[in-house]
Amino acid sequence: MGTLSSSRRLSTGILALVLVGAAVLTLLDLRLASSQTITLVAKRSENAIPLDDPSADVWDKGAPIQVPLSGQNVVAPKGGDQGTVTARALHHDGKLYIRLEWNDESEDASTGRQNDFTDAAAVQFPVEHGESVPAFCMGNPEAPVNIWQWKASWQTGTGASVLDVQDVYPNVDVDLYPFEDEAEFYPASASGNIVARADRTSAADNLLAGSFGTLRAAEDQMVNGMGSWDDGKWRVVFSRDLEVAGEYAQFSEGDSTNVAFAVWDGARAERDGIKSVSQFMTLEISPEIATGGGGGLSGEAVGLFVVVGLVVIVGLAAAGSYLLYTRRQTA
Amino acid sequence: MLSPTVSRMSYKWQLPRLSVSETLLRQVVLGLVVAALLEIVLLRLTTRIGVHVPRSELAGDGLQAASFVGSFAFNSASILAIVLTVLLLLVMTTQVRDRVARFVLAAISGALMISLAMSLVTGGAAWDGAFGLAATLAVLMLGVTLMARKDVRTSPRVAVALVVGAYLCYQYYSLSHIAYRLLDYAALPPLGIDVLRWGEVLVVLAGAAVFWAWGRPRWRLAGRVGIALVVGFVAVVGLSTMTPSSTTSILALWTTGMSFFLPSPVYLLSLALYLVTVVACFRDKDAFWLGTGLLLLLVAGYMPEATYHHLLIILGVGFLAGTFNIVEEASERTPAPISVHAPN
Repeated sequence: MGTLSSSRRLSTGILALVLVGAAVLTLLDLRLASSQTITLVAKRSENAIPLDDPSADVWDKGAPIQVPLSGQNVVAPKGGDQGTVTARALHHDGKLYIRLEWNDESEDASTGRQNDFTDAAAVQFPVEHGESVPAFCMGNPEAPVNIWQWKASWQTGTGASVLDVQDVYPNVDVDLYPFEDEAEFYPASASGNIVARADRTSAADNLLAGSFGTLRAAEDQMVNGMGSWDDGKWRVVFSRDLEVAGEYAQFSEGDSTNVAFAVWDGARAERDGIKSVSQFMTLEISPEIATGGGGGLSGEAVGLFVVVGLVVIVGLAAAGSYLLYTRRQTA
Repeated sequence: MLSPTVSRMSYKWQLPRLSVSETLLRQVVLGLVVAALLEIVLLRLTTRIGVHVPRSELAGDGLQAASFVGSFAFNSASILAIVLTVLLLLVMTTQVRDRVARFVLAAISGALMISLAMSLVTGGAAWDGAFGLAATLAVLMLGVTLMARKDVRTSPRVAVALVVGAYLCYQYYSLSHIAYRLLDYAALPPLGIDVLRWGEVLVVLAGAAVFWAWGRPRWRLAGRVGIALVVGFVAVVGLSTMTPSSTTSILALWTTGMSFFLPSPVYLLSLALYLVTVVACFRDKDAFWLGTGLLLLLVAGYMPEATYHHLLIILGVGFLAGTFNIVEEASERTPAPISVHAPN
């Protein structure tokens, strides 16, 4: 009886100590845990990274991660049917480069007709990195996110390649169009809506959000993006200076932050909230030089090494556990 | 009570044998369960569902308060998970008589604790990988210990095998990426996403297997109220997929780490069976540890985001496998080796 009450006293003491420790950690805005999500590492590239060639060889030196996506099912319009996206990151000469790669059977780069939707991709970072990670769907009011969004249609609508009605309907015949060049008949463009901009210089926008319904274009458009579709696969490169002025995500060598991805498939009429999204991953900006060599081993050899290594470890553990049990039984 | 006894030293090098009273263990485990549930409800659900809450000042203050309490619960649960894992592995290690078995257990436990400490302090990839590997070995060891027993029915073996299998699938995805990173090899690990998807299938199957193993024999204990609560909860989740503001993906990706690539009804059925089993186990006074193990696994989710979630999986599998049932009332302490209760 006395032992039972002493057990209770001991457990009460343990719980009290735990609560005090947890309170101290919480007040210091610390979490007693280490992130176990996979990490996208952006190493320093010794070679320049061409923005206009997302398939450039330099990307072979960036370590990829393969990220599972799921449909966006939080707010209407819901949807998204993309399986995975492969991401690589590098930095060079003070700029961060992120390349996304995903399978897409068709290249959808025009929104000239009402039922055309464009392929698109986006990367998202917390504006301020800390212990509390914002909601991966557009952030929180107290923890906004910085989004870089690329659209294939913005790429075809950049510079001299702007699509007009005649490009989509070559045989269209217009007798008279009286309001051409009159701003009041182009309200979105006249009000500065970047979606309606015809003088766009980049296919990627710099956006900010602090929960659903708050997505807006940032004042400073400093993100570049370029994609290429080849043989059923999109490769899109985003780039921006590591450190910029303003309330945007900041990056520096040796630091880590979070990153999430989203992909839209125009052929499936995906737009707005109809998209495939990932959770937040860790993004590390490493000062190491990207070699991507794998210590001279071939890809197959390294793959085999990893698989065999894991199998051996699993086997040893199983054998050890079995031994543990049988020895214990006979003891 | 944690106490050393030296009367049964079988070998010269044997450590003092430690035991822990059930009263102490139950109270600390209950503290962990409460903190873990608060963490999942306040931190991983409320603040994330908060994106749907109207943006009034009051709602904002409420969400911030929930986030603060959730962070406090997270830290409490994390500390308790560390304390319990250390305690139970230590007790297990000192109670095993065989030198080889003790060495295996001590090596895995030591690797787990050292790598956990270093991962928390440094956050380096190598220590994260070492912790992940040690956690994998610990879960595997606990699972295989159950598999090797002859006094256990088939259904608990299947259920634990599916749980352990799912964890191994996720760990393969995670650890293979870390291994490639440490090798500085710029390629994708083979079958990474495929294995991750197979693991999600195993999780769904585990829901049914858990019911088959422990829920079916005692489902009447869940009672009408218990079953009604489970059905109501699952119905709300199911119906929410049809509303403009749905919590489905929050429950899926954020909370449990599922990508929902299978049809929704499959997940809902699995969740319902799992929850009925949890309720039934907690209504059965002899199945407290089973219910606790199932609840800890549910809180940890399929894709553990943090070190603390891995510890919950170790504890959960340990309780399900009966390996951690090494408790004994101090008042009637007998220096038996690990008492292995069949997880029926």
